Amino acid sequence: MNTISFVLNGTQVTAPKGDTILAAAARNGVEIPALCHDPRLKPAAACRICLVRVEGARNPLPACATPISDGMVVTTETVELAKTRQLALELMLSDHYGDCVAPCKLACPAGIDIQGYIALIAAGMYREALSLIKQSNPLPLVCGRVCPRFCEQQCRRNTVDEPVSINALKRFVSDWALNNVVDDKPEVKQATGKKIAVVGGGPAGLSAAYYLALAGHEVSILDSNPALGGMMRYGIPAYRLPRDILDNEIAGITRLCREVRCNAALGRDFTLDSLNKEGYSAVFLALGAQADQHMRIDGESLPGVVSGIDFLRDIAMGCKVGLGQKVAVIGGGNTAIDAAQTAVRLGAGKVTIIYRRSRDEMPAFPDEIKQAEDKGVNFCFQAAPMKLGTNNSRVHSIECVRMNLGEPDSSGRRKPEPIAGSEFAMEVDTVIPAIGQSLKTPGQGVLEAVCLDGKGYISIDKETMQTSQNGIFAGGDCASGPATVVEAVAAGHRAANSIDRFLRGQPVTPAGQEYNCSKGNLKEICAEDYAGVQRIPRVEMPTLDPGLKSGFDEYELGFSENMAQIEAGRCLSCGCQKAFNCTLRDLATKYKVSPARFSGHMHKRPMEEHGHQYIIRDTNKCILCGRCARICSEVAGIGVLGFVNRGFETVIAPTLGLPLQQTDCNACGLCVSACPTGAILPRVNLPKPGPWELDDIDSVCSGCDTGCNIRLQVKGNKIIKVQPFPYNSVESGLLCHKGSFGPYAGNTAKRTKTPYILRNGKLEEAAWEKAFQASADGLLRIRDERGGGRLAVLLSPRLTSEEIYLAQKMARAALHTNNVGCLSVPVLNEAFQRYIGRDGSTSDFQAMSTSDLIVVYNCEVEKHHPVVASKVRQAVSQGSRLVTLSTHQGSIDFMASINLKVNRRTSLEVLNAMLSYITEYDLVDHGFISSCAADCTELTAELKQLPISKICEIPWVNPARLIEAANLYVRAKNPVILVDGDHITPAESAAISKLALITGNTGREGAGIIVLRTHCNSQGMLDMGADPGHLPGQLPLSETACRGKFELAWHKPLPVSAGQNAWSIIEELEKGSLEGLVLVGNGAASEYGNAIYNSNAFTVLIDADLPDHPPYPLVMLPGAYPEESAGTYTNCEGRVQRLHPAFPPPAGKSNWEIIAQLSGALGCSMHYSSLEEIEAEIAGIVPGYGKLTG
Amino acid sequence: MIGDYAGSCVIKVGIASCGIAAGGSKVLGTFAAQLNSRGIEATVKPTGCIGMCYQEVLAEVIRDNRPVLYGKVTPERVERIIEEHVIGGHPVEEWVLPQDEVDGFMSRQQRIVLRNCGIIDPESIEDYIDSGGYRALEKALGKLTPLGVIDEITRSGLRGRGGAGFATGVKWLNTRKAGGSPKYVICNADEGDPGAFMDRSVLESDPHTVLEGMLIAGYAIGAGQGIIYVRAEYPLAIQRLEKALAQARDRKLLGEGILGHKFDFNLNIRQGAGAFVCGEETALIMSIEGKRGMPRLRPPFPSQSGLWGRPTNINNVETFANVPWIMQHGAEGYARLGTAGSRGTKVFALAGSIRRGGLIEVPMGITIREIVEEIGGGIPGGLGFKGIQLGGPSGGVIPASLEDTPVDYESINRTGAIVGSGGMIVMDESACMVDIARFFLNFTQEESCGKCTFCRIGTRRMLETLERITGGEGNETDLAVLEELAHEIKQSSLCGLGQTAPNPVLTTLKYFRDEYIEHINAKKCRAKKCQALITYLIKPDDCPGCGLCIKYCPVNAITGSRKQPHTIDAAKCIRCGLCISVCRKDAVTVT
Repeated sequence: MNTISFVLNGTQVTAPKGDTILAAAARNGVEIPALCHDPRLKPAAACRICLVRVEGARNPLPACATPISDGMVVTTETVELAKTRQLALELMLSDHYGDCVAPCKLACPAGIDIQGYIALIAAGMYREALSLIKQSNPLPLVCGRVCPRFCEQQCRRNTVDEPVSINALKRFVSDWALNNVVDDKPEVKQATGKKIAVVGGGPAGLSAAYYLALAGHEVSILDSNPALGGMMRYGIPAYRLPRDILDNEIAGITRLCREVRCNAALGRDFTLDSLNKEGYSAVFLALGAQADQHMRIDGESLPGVVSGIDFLRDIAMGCKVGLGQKVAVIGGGNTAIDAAQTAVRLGAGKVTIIYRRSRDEMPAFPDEIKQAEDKGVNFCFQAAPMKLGTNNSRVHSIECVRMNLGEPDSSGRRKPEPIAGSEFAMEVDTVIPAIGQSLKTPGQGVLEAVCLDGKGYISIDKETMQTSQNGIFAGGDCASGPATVVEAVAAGHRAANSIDRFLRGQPVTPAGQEYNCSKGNLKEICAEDYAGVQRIPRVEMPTLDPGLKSGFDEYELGFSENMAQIEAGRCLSCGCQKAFNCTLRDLATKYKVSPARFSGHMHKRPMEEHGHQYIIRDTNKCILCGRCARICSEVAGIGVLGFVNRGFETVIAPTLGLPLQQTDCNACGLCVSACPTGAILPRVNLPKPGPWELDDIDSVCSGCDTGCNIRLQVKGNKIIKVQPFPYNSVESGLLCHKGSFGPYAGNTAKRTKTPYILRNGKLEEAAWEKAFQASADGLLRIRDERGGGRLAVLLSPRLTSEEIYLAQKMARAALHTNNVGCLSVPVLNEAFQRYIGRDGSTSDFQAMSTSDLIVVYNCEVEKHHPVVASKVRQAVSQGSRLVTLSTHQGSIDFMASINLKVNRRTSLEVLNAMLSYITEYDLVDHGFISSCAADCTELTAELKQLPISKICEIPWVNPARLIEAANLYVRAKNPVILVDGDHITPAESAAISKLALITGNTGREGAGIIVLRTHCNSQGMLDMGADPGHLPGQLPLSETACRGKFELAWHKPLPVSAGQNAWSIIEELEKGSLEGLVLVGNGAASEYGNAIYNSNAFTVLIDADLPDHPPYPLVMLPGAYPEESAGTYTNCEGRVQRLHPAFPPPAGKSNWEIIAQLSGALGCSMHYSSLEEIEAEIAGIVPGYGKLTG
Repeated sequence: MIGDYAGSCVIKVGIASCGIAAGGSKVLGTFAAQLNSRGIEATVKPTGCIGMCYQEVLAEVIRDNRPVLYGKVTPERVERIIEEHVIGGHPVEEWVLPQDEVDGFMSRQQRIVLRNCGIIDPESIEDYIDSGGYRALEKALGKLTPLGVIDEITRSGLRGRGGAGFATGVKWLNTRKAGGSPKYVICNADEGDPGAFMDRSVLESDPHTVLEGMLIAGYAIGAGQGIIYVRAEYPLAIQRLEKALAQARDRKLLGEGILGHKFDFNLNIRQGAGAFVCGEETALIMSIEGKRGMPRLRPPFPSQSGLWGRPTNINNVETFANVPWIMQHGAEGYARLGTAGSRGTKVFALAGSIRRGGLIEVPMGITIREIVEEIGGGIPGGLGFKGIQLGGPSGGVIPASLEDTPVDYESINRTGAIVGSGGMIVMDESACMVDIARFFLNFTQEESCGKCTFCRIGTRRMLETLERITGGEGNETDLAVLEELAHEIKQSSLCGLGQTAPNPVLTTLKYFRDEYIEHINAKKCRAKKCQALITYLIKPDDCPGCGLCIKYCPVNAITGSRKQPHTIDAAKCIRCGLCISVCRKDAVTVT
């Protein structure tokens, strides 16, 4: 009985016998949380997260390690289990030292992913940086200028030197986009048809409008002022925020909106009721708080007394304000500073700020205070106005009293108390009180529908921004009281999320808070941790001349690109690289943990950051699940990571406590893929590691012809990480260093965007058309004058099958030559073709995993095919026997039942000896032989002639072991032989084939030969006809019928005589007998560049990289890397697998387009409009490729 | 203990580790040298441990078939014993252990496992054979089928003596029936509990009985290979085991065709590096396989998939040592001893605050009171009996109020403690129960293999809580946290180490909760053990003002003029207790 029926959470379900509860549950759609579980590994049952209740068991059982049994009753979620899981997580996190998210992001009211955008800036990805900022803040141009920078106060860099100029970097990218006219087109969701009214066009309203518009709603903004912007326009002076910048920012938002109504005041021009009647489904009130607060002293209403808000507003609206010479500004906030600076710029001779506390208590930003000082503003601290005197027409004097600072009050600032008898007076022409703002009360009844709080602001739920009235939301200053732009932006964004939920009929609940682990605030963190950080001075913000006292030009000038790069480089990248896909964090969020309950000793160990080329280890984040150590020994077969110490001190460490790079680590990266937290990370090949939310592109590794599936994780045009894919599966989930870390190469390569033509020893940029023409001219001249035999086409085995097919088609049909091949793949192996039907494998990895005997013949699998070595290892651990015949010592030899050490000469003798032993003792599978084709009889006849006596004469080979190996092979039910297709000789191929044939071990399921080759699309090369003697489908060129088939399909006569192989082509080029060459590579073929380009031949190179030094090809056509290409690879099993491009090639043309266009220029037009057309052609004409995988 | 040596005089000196530590080798050497120099023909021979560790070095002089036992023998005392007793025939009465002392210690005991300990020469296979050794093997191979042997063991009711108490016969049968070969027999001699030395004593005093037990087990389950996993910290045991193995091989008791039967069996020793967790059978197997000793989930049990994935039977030393006796005397003889659920005897290492500490073997069902008062002779120093710690760090404390609890698996489990492998630590009133819990938890948390979360971090957090409490910084939520953690650790840990680690805390919380509360609320340790919670005071009336304490105080916390009462500055005092020990007038007290 192979199916088990059991009860899962009250439902009767079935699963195959042998499944664990976890696997069986997953099969039935129930996910059981787990941390130490990895389907690629034997269960460990260590993390205790997957505990489930099984009826009859005293204690909960680990689902990852408990097999299901008939009638089992399993419950996966109970209150008690949740508590156990929560506790386990809390214990883990009580010893987890790290930051999930950087403190700057946590400090930002809008929650901007600061670390993310700084890393993008550092990588030069400005467009991506801006779009990341805009995910949380649609006003980067404004905020980049006026933000109070809560983030910088929490910047960890404070412990090293000075905080990173986070805000200046934000301004840099938004300015960059503005100056480079980068149109950031945000993605707008499908239209919902719902109308929303946003009342108030300040930062809160604009922010809400932006996110609501992106969510697909129709937004109308209504504002009582002549223009949108609220306090940004009417409260912030232009020298801080130029109006064109503001207009630009606002325009970017309003173009997403349905309508903007200015000069429309709530209560005057419309009411909440009227909005409802107009069909608005929801209203967002963002009215601001633009009424000034009164000083409540005598003379306040005298002429010459103007509130800070009104003053700035008047100036912003272009009104003339007569100030006189002596101006007193009352207050210590930003409005007071702005008013004072504005007064100076308007020509006031003496401007004094009167503030009742000391400078330290001033709420204005220190930089602003400094700027005001630079401008000559006077400060009169610890003084408060008592009354204003008049000269009968206007304010004339201000009487103040000195203040003493007492104990801190509820605001935490020291409470000012008047000192009796310290009164003094000051002559003034104008007094500008700027002591606070409040909600400008709309007319009677206007806000009747919503409740106000004690201070007169709109009362809201702070999480959802909902007012007391259904469908009416509020945010910004009108609800919170006067605050900053960034806080208003946050409020608007939050409101937009709530309104969106409201409009979609979802419950309006607060967005769940993600769990966040933190090293602590600036006071709590250990400064020693940052002792090794290089000190780099903060880049100073360039400004206009500080002494300049007039004019409203923007004072701060912004960073240059160079300054931005330096400043971005200062970021410490505090947040965890795994923050976006950390299983531990997800579970901690799900189970609402509070690890502080179990706070105790926490390990703080140094990070293994600098050393290993690809891997970063941070044991402070390790939860001891052991997946890395287990995958390293169980799957990779290396075992360089292991548990050290006992109890609480247990730690995962490399062998003998060495740094990882000094161990046998072969950088397969499996440990990285296995780690559920941020304890083992890939080293990102960028100045800063991010992290970012990445796009997943599923593709195929181009490292070798194992054909591992990979998931490229991409940001912009950079590959950030690579995961084995299907990730975490038993079927695959394997990668070696070539897959895990190989595809990063393109991140740093110098890439050219235009074709080049060599003129007078110098490469000159050329247009595509010119380059194609130049190529065609040169090649056609040779073809027409000297014949196609003087031309050759060399290909890279990393090209896709479609590219190879087109290239050989071009060679034969356009250049009229059969000189086509590849330097890294030998010509088609006719011995295999003769005996086993084709040059290629007759078995697959699936068969290997169930095989009872694996023979590895002269094949350095660990070196060239590490994943295949892992598969061998897995098969052996599941009971398969292993026989190795090798010239090299490899790690799998230790697992072998028999290991015959041979050399290049004796290996063939050993094969022949086995054959003769098998025939001599008649261990031949006659039934099988007679059932297959006729030439097999000839096979046995040949065998009779092999001298068995030779067995004892083979040097260094123990005849007894040889016979034992032969017997093992004969007796095995499903033996699989692995051979190295690149190096096997025809004689060896024949012997191996015969061995498989006479024992009946090929041509049937489960048994056979796997031909491994070093390069990823070697099989595609052979199958697509990149061979001097064979056409696509491995069809012999010599046969007229075969040729005819292609001539018919291609409408061109094909050259008859066989071409030369790749090595001869190189020789002939050097000799000068070959005169023209098209080299299609993607990195791989250019290693022969020197020999090729030094010859006098006419060379056209289609490649991703330009040779970085002479000699150069005559024409260079910039192509694509495999990671940028679409198409298919055929792996060693013969499996056709699809590549998906991570991003387009930088020069804009894929390799197949270049080949097709070159062919067109050569007179053999290839009018393919898409890759699918090429694939259809291949499917129709190449045997075995009838159906391509999707 | 009554030898059977005819003729002249035999002198036996106990030289197991305890005897050697007390100077046994020297005593042995002195006897031999002096007898030799005097030309006296007497046999001097080493024996193992008789169990009366508190009286080591023990020497038994058997003259004219009358054995006389001397306790606390020193090399200096040898001469007079030779002169008066060996030559003169008159025992030196003042050094002879009084008969009531010996009877008190021995009469309630029932020695099956320890039947040869302290009697035969552990390094002599002849001695073992002379005392009936290897006859059980002979009987098993000659007269019984393997299933017959298993049946005998099953009927005897023998349960695994390593701690868990699983029925040995069932285990053997499971391994016998399990598919796969070869099969293995493993002797777990990785005795790791603090204060436990039962297995060491048996291996040092009677190694062949363990070998014989393993051979019988091997025959019964169909195994050809045995491994003794013994901790490297037991060098004498290893040395004697190696000798015993060599002797057994010489006599063809190991190897092929044992005793002429179609039964092949080989035995090896593997030394463990002293990780407590390797006493857990799956971790032990990992360790033998050369991996880091970390437990894995059971099932599959080792009887199905053990060493190298083959069926493996693991028993501990004491279990195997019972087997020859059972085979020889029959299952019924064994089953007659003990209680209905717990048959036979159990060896305990009696230690702590007890007059007669040592190794004892008692029938199951004997009460704690009988062990403490009758065998152990009660608590010394006039202090009251407070409780007894059973089962080492995995066990718990049973309070004095439950001293009539019979010692059998079921009754002990009901108290919250476990019988365990046999560690038994007696505690008097001067023991602080919070501190005891802290001590044992400190041990287990350090020995956790680190694999599973609850055990690795949970026990550490419990320990930190206990440290806070004993450090005077406990708060009211601590007990709830302790209980919450203890519950989860017990329920959710992977192996026995974690599942039992909270037991000392839980049992002390159960029986001595008021002490915890006193520590937390009153900041008081009634046993005056927890340094942070005690104050040293000089009673002015008793202080003669001699200045001695001032002289010895390492931190100059004591001041006072001569002949005037001194005072201790509590702020400076580090509570080292030196002043108490030097004061001649007992004027220093602790409150």
